[in-house]
Amino acid sequence: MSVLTNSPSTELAHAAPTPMWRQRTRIFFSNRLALASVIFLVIVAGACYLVPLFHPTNQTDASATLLVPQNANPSAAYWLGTTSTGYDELGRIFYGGEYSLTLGLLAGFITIVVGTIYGMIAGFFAGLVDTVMMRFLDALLSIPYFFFLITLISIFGRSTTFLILSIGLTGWWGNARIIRGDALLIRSLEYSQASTAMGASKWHIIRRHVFPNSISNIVTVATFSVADAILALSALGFLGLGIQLPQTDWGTMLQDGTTQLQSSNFWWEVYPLAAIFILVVVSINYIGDALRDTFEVRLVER
Amino acid sequence: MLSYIVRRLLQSLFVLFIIIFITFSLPYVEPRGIYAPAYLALGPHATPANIHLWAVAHGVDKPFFFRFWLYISNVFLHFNLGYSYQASQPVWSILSLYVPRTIWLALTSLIFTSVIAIPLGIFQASRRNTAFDYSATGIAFVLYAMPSFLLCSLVLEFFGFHWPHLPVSPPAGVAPWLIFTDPGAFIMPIGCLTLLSVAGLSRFMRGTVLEVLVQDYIRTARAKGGSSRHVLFKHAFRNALGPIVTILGLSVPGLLGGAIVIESVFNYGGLGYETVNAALSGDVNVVLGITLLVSILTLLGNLLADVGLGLVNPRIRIEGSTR
Amino acid sequence: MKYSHKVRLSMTLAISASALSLGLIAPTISSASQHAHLSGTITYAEAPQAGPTFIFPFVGPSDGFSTSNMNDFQMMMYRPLFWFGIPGSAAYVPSLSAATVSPQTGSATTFTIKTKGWKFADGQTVNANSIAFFLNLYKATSATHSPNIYAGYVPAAGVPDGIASVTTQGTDTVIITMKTAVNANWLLYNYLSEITPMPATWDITSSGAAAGSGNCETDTFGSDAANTDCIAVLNFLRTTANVKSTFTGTMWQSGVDGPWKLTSIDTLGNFTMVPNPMYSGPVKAQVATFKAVAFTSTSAELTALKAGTITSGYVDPTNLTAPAPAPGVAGPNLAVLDSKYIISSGTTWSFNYDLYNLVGDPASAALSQLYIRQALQEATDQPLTIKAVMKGYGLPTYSPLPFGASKAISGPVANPYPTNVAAAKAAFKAHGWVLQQGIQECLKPGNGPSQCGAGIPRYFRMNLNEDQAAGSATDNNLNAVEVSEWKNIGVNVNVSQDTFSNVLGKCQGAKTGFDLCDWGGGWLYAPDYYPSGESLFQTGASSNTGGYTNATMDSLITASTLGSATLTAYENYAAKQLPVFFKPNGTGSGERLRTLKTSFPGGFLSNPLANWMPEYLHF
Repeated sequence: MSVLTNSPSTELAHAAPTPMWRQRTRIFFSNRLALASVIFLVIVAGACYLVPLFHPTNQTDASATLLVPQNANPSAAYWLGTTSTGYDELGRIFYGGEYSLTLGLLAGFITIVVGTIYGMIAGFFAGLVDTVMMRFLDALLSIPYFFFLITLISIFGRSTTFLILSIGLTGWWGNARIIRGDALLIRSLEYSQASTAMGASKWHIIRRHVFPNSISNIVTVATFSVADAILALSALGFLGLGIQLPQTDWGTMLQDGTTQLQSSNFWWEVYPLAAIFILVVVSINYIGDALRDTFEVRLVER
Repeated sequence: MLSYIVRRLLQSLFVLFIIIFITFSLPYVEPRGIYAPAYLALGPHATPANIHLWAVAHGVDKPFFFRFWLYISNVFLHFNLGYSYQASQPVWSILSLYVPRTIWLALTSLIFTSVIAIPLGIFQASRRNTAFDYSATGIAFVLYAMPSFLLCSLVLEFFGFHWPHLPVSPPAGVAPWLIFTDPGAFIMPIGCLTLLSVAGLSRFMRGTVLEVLVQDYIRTARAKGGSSRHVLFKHAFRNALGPIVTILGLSVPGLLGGAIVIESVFNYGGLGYETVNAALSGDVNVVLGITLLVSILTLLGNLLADVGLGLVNPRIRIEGSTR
Repeated sequence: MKYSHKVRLSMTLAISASALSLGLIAPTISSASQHAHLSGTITYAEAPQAGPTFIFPFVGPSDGFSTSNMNDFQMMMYRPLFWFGIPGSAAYVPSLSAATVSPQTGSATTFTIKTKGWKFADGQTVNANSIAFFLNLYKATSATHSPNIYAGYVPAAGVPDGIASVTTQGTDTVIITMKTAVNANWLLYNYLSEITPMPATWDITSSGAAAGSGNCETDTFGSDAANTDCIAVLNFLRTTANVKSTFTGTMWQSGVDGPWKLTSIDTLGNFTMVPNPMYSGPVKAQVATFKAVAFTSTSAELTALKAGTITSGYVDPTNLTAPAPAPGVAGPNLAVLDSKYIISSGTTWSFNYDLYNLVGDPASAALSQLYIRQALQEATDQPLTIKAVMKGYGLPTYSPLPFGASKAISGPVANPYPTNVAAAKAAFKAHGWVLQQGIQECLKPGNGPSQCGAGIPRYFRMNLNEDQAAGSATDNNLNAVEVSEWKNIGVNVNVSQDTFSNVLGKCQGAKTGFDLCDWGGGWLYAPDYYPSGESLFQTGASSNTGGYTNATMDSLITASTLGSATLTAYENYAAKQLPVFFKPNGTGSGERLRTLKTSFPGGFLSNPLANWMPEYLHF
């Protein structure tokens, strides 16, 4: 959570005077939907990470599930019924959520860090550096990234660590391009050129002009990256390449659930989780949008 | 401008080379990676002798750089993409089967997407913060957040089996023009692919137009008394065109990604499905062939987008020409 | 849907039937004139991502060596000389074979094959030359080390390397003389079973050449002339063997001697067959058209079943909403299909196992101890797993003997190690192991009767690594259950899942870096049908990559492959010795669970060898 909401503000504190920072925080939280999204995410994350500690359910011992009824209706014993393999559905949603959220955050973090550094360097230094870096990026960008991801996983296997790395290291290409485009544009704007003309150093320009003016995009892209990483993991689940049993993630669970939906109406195996999943991704994206609005000074001033 | 295009073309060739190199060397990362398809072909009964014979038949036993050179020269001098390990077919025949099928699917849905998403985005931007904007944004957010397989499976389940019993899959057959002879069977696949991409594009469109709307010259145009519709379409749309061109140019790989799900759920053998299949079974030549093809398409798209951007914003063109 | 690995000979079987509940159908044999008013269409779902690719039955290692290409496509047109597979077990079926062989029991050096005079589609007779053609081709590829040798080739044994001479007698008899005496059943099931008679119209080196002009079928077996001629013929035939537009042409269709001939095929893998009017074998087709439809995923197959557009398709056990009523009894247990289809399951001619790595590190030393392998076996509850995970559609496995083997092959095998978690734990304790943080730790190293065993160091813990192929949902659940059952006795297995080919590459190619290995599907006894152990457990055998070695086992294997012994002693010894970990064999390891429209009163025909055999189906 902290990655999503706090760090952009603290980064910004170096770049902009404090009143601006306060003003922006106020603007962000005056957006009630954004506030609701933050609260929702805190609740879901809290439930996924904490509820299993207080109310443990069997999610790892597959041999114990042999004696549990499969596809059981919701009941007092199983609040959201059981899965097709005899796990408690509600407990499994929390259990799978731990993996989906953790992997999404870590992979999203990798994509934005790598993407920002790459894009900033390329966009700012321009010239030969930019050309070489961008041609390399073009090469990566023109490979369908999801195919590349599958190829990587089919070669290296799918341990949790590698899933994070592979999603992270295949997800930054688009980010880098956006950040670079920003840097390039800002650099070509009148005030940057004026600063250059007045003899300001490159780092000064990056610090005073390029980074502050890119921050809205970096933050926005960062939130979207987390959402995209969660979606990418779920797509891997669809292909049977998600986290391996007995561990699970939301994508794998949704895939299992939709398979069950094909043969009978076990609604509890799909819809509750689908609603949570969609709301989580929507919330993250909405926060990204709200942050962009917050940082979009020109919009604010209007 | 011409020299700019020529230079970009040359750079693109270099980029292609990098792509081939990356994809070609990936299987070598795993110690016996290049032999993996042999085990797929021969199974647990495989004797070392048969694995060796398989390797000889496919030239896999040769050193890496020799193979790489052979592949490059075959591709660029003879337009020969090699041979699929799995299908016992030249890669070309696989591409010529799947590419038209997927292109028709993707192109049709791209047209629908553009027709729906671009006006939608502009209207949302012009009616920012109205009920219409909120509900359209809400729907777009949900569609964007929904895993594509979930959307497709639900659509299939409800419209195929509950109401109104649409055909559940395109007819079995290879002809790429099935889409014209039996359009009813394509309602669900194309509808799904369109839904999947409409959300992203309309959101992007809305954002772009909004950004243009706050530019100084728009304010100037408004101040000069231009009607808001006139300002919106004359100035805002024209200035937002650049980013749209960029995003459409970059959307080729994304469309193929969506096609994976569509093709497997609706039983429509195509490029996306074939790529996943080939990647998972280590059919390197097929993966390479498809990657090359898609890369060429995307690079062309990028090139067009960059040229378009250069026309729209002269400052970037100056930047480009000084490289 | 999930992308599971491709359906291959090694791991899966396509058709299945309820041998136990429905029994063998004995259809009325239709006369040739009946073909005129045959009607109806059978539409079969192909296994996902597995259509026919290669039409020439002499399949090389880099061609379509898979059940989907051979059993479900080629064999409908090109009948192997000897037919195996019905009813219910993979037994040799003399009545469906185009030739007879003698002797069939004991050990012998000379084998006489006499053809029955069946006809190819162009009117030529299946004769001694048709058999010599195949054998000469086989020998030529072996002698010249051709990369296009028959994919089932095993060096130095059986056919062709073990043959001393092949002679034809008259037009209908072939006499094969082996270099040494061999077990008759072993030769028939493993090697003679590979022979597909081929017509003189294929013995050519250019398009339109005179039949037999290639001389491959008439040259002397093993001679230089035969080798040269046959390779030339092979090279010519291979130029079109993968070109689908030629499949329905005169040349390929002239060699059809089975009940079906191909009328159309497309590049996606959809194909159509119609009854072959010239088929001279006993069971003739009873419907007008057979269609095979390509599918991209099992979920798309289920969709088609729900829509009722196919006659027969696969369902994964995870989709079943209730277990089978009783072991071996077919559904109904999928409500959405009940009104249209019967669900049915049959046996596979295979056994399912995890490979132990027995050479190398301390973990291998531990697995080399029989008491530890026995504990691992006793920790698992196969009947319960089959009921819960496989929904009843599975067979417990206690030996390498596949279900339904006839007495002529092997007597019964008892299960020496029934489920007993307490005994499994006690065995560790008795050998000086103590549970530390839930994992067994060796505190008494050494070779004595109450010590851990040779090569196991003090403080060694039972932390093992397993390489698993990611498969169907059922496969994955089966493996998860197994791992947690081991955990219950203090054996911790860390699983890394990978693709089928990568797992095999590691376990069979590299042979290191794993303690346990499961490529999903175990061992299918095909195309070598004899359930003997010479390639599995004999010291140094090609597929014995775990490094199992045991002198008694070796001698039992030799007695059953070269001597006259049946497999009874070998199978029982393997059941006690546990050279591999035996696990439930079922639907998870392949397409055994099939549906069939209720409009077919005869129901399924059981064939554990994956052949479709739609000629047995009738409305």
